[in-house]
Amino acid sequence: MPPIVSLNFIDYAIIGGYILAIMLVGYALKKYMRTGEDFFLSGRSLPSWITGLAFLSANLGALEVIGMVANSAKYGIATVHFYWLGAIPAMVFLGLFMMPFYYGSKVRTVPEYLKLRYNEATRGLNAISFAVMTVLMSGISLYAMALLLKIMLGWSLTGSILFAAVVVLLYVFWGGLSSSIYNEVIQFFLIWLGLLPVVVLGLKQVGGFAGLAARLNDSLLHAWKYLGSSHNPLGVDWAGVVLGLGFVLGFGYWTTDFLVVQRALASRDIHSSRMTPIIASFPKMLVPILVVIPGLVALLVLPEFNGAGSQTAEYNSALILLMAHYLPNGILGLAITGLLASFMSGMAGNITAFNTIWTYDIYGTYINKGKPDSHYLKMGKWATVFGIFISIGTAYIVKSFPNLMDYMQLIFSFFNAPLFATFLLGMFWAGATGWGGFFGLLSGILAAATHYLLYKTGNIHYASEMAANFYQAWWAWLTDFLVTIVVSLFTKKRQPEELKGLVYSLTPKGKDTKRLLLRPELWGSVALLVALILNIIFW
Amino acid sequence: MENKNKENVKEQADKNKGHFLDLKKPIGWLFTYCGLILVIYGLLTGKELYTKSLGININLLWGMVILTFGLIFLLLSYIQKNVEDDSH
Repeated sequence: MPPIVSLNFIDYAIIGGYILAIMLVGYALKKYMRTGEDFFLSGRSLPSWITGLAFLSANLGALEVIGMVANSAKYGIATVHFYWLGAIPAMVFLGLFMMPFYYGSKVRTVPEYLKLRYNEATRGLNAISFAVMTVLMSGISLYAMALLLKIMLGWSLTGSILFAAVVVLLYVFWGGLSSSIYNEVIQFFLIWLGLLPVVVLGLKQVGGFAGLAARLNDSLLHAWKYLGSSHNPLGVDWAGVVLGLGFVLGFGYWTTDFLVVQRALASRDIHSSRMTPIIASFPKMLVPILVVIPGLVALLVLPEFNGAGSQTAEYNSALILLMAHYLPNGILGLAITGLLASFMSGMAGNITAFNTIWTYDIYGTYINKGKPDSHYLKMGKWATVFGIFISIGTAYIVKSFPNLMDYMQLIFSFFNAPLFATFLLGMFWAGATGWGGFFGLLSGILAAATHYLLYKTGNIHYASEMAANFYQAWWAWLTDFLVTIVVSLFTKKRQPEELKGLVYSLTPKGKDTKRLLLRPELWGSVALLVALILNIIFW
Repeated sequence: MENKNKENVKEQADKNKGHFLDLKKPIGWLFTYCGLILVIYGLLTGKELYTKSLGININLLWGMVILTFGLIFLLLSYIQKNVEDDSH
């Protein structure tokens, strides 16, 4: 199959400029990496506009963008639920209520908080599953990138994998989390500036929003109107969407996933750390412009999707085909650079989360305790190297067994969904005990796995795969929540003094001395209000 | 060199852990560079390249947007270098 587009020297000049820029930034950061905190947490020194954009960007990977455009072509405007319902409330909640405990307790990682609040076993369960997850995810994203570049540009699979791995390896090795965060901020601007022309040209051709509204089926044009039952493109009713996506999956991801929380921990003070997710929530609300509109345009414009062509639609290719459809050389190079940047920063984000968890929660806890800081700094650098090697290995395994990609993502969802219950109880109920936390988390994971088996063997039925996902998350959360409470009632409680700074009711409230206009409470409320208004407009 | 000295002074004065690099500068340079390339390429290419983009010379137009964006970041970093950051 011939490549979809061909690049010329102008496109390569833009791609080359980007690679050069991030390598220089990484190299310039090298001399600042003196301590473990510099390398793993950017010395807790970054301003909130940087951590905020990185917080958002860490999640705006290329897989996410391509997948959401595909969702939009399948489900229409309902795709906004992944943003306005599944992300904004959770981000505001993290900033207002959870960051004080993450940042205030001076933990360096999410599992470390679990150790302080619950016990060693809970941390171990979370740290090991998370470390395995991140390093495999990094391999998945590496393979997905190489595959995309092969289909789109005809680049060799091995060449792309090795090239991207070497670039990411070098800049993370030099600059640690700072490199990763700086690259995410650059990527944030690149992906917007690279993809907006597709949105604008697409809208112009179909005749703007009015054109979309006139030519598409009404069920694709509303977020809530058709959620009364599961007879809608999404195949989920409102309860599944609110409980599964809005509550469990949204909160579970945005408030407990170390990949994003690590960005907020890199802030220079507690105020900036609370502002990080709240600043991120504003551009997050706008991401649907970038993903939902192209999905809808694709349905009208591309012969693969509007029924005019003989080919069948492969939704994941919608964005790529639109880029090929609208962008001439030059601007095309910029859009490709945006995708490339988001693949590489997705990989770098996973690698930096991995080297931190590995060094602090696994190596420094179970393998080689009590060494000087310089030893762990060195370990972090080596963890970066072997993390990259495992990623390359994973990329090749996935290459031979493409279905593995889906299975791995599925298994990860077992670990992610229940975790939010463990955190919610840990932070807001002083009565939750160490073993309560451990058995709650474990049974939540088992509940997710059991639910999946029952669904796959035909013992439980849902209108769609999506509905199964959302409800699985909900049941896993509820199991974790209930088991944690029950086990806690029968196990020994910790002394209240030990939980100071870790539990809401036992922590003295620090006064935010900032002027009202700078307070996270104000901006968090504004974010929620705007999200609410957007939901009403696109009802 | 001068810039580096200034940063060191700032670090000590702040007692704060010091913000590693001014990220506005690389962002500014990268987008100024991309914008310039696109504008020049847009000026040099004829209509036939732009049938895809509905007849609009998107390289020239969008290149100018990106160039402006890059220059704003360079300007911001220049202003910040001269006026000491008073956010503390």
